[in-house]
Amino acid sequence: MYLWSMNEDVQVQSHWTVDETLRRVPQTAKVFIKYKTQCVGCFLQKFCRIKDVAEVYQVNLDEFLKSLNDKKGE
Amino acid sequence: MKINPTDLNQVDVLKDAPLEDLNLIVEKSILRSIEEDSFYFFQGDPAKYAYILVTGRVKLVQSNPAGQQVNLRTIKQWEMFAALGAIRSDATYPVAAQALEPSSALAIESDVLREMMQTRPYLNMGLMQLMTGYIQEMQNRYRELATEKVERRLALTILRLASQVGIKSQGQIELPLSQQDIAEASGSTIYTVSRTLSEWEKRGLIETGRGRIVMRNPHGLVEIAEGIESA
Repeated sequence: MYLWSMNEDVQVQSHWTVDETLRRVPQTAKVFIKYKTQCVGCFLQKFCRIKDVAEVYQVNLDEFLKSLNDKKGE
Repeated sequence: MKINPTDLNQVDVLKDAPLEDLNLIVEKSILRSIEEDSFYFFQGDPAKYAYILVTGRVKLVQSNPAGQQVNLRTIKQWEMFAALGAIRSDATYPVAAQALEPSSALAIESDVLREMMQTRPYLNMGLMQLMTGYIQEMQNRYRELATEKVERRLALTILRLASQVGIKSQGQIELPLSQQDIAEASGSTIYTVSRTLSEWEKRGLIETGRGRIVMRNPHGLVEIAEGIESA
């Protein structure tokens, strides 16, 4: 087990699950919503990795990761 | 306002009617104009008149004893409505007809329409087409209510259970649960669960095995649960 804190410098990785992403960087919620995903509130958060989300919703993984790390919904 | 009898050929039920019948209908009917929110008739009134909407829009509403209302349909220009009294002389209106905007409609006595039906096959066919159209629509709505609700509930149950007891193996989410478990968790019957799951299996959403369910397309289940299924 490892501890993490809400760290501004932390970078979301494509192998992170949605659950992990939202817990470590809660501000990413608005990015998930902006991309019109159902991820926020979904029961499958701990199963889906960021790259799975990009695949399912057919969005470019690099752009998606960049938006998640900018934590901006624009 | 004067009704031109040939306009009545735009009414589906009367599209094959000869001019003399259209003249007869205009002559025998009265034009009733009402304001927005007023009623042509109320639920439970004796069905003495059938109507043809000439201008405006009218909604047909049914209420239950507790006062909850369901909008059954909206009547548009040149549609016939409330014709059931022509078929059954003791009928009462099963709905209320309320104007959504200022409206006018030709009211024909049900008795007159019934007498005309005796010698006019086109009229019988026209009314039967209207009726079968209604029935088909209601059957579709019934199916949607009965099945889609269950589908959504089952999908939601499976997703919830997956978040609690799901195991990720070889890139897929596996649930160590039987159909009986799903039925109990969702408050439905094993028959419904079995039918729905085999339908989903055919669509490639899941795979079922002895005491386990594998989610082949988890996102597809999310879409069903959210009610945003495209297919």
